[in-house]
Amino acid sequence: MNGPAPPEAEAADDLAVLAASRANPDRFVALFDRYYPEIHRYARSRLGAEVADDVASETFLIAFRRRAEFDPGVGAGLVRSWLYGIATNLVHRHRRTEDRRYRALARVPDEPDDPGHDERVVVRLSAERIRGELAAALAALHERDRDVLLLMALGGLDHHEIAATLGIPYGTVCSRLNRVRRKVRAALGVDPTDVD
Amino acid sequence: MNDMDDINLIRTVLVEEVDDDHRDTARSKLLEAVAMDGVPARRPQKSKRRWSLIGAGTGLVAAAAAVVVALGTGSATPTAPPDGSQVEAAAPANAQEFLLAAATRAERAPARSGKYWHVRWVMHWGSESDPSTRVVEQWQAADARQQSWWGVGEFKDGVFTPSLDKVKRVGYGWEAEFSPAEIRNLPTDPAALRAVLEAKSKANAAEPGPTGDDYLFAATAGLLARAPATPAQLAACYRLLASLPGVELAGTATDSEGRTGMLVRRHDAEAGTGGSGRTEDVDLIIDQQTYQVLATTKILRATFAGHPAQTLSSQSVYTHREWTDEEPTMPSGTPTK
Repeated sequence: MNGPAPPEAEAADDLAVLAASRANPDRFVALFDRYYPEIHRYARSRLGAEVADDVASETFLIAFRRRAEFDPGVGAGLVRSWLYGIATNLVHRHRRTEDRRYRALARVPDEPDDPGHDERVVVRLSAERIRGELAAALAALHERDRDVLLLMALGGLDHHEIAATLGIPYGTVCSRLNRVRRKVRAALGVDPTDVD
Repeated sequence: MNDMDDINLIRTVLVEEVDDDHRDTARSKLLEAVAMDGVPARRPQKSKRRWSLIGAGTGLVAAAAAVVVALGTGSATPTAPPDGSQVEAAAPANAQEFLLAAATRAERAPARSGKYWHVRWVMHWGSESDPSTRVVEQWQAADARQQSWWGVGEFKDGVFTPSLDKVKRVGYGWEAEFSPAEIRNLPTDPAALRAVLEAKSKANAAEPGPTGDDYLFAATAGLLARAPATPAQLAACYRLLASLPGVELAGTATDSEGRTGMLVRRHDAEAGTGGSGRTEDVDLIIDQQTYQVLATTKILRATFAGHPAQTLSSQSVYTHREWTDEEPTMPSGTPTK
């Protein structure tokens, strides 16, 4: 999975690199080298590999052009969150691709007539059914619910970082995440109250 | 299910690994944007001076010649640094001061780019009685999908025989042999740069060659001399040199093209037994205004008791170090461009 928040030293270095890149643009490439792999991973996990190439590349081009506008500020935090925010906006433009991808994952093959004899078959079908139900649940989510859930699951962002990424209050992230995860767990047939 | 199972399941279902996330293509696009940032139409950066390969064939440091060539930044004459301070600074007290001034100057230079990274140098080696000279030119394409070129010209019995060939990759940094991709990733912090070079040295440990501080000095000098490093990376190189022990100023020196600069030397001596021993000097001739590396020289002297001292030297003299949009041409022994 993508790691937890970068240690403070690295986050501070991001800010230093970004600040330096205003006068010395080539310094910006260090941020690309550091974050492209995980941004691509996030984008392709939502949209598939092909569209992810464009989204990931465009994320850094946009970030580069806007590098002078980035404001660390109070609670606005990390360069990493900012990059995920740009990427998420680009992912929104490919809403239909994302929906199609989840619906494709949601299709479960028909059960064979007599699954009983082979335990592996039963286990496999169960796993596929769960996968299918999860994908269907994701397809049914509102965009902003998907964002908080997938920034956490795919980006490994914590609540503060998600708030910075989406430009919403910390409290909203907490309540939204709780609600979405309850919904997903219910769709999977799991005790929906068992959420941290 | 525990409380993270929904998150884990999402990862399992959605994340697909790929062999290639096409980061090189994306990086190239970013580099283009970096190069175009705020820059008006670029002009070619050739020096307009005529110069000739005087001194070819004598092969040693002390050879003198006539014409000065400006290098790298494309200016024909030294210009005042952007902050308006005097060009004629007070003489540096020591090598560290000189190299740190070089770093400051280097990092203020604007980042440039072009279709090719073009470097040309002239190598002199051999002994006084049997000297050799070779011209080497490299054109490394900035875009990895374009062709890179390598040109060589040998002087033999007064005849210059050039060739120009396609080449797959170009290496930088002397024995360190960094690829263009590795150059792009070089740190801009001198301590981090040192760590990268030390790791390279370990990776090359099986091969003969300098080790320890000798290696660091030689590899860093190689990067300064030829690598398409950014201003910040070059500054880190100068700072790393400044941090090495045994680095001293040894007055000024003139290279085989007749250009004079400050001699920055690392001296290494080993005493053998019975009156024998060897010394090795690695010299950089660095332009005192632009702080560009004009030449690198290695002088090895071996003494054996009862025999005359043997001296071997090799010098590489850098005449072009630039980004250019011009296509490669056959190397010339006496370029007028």
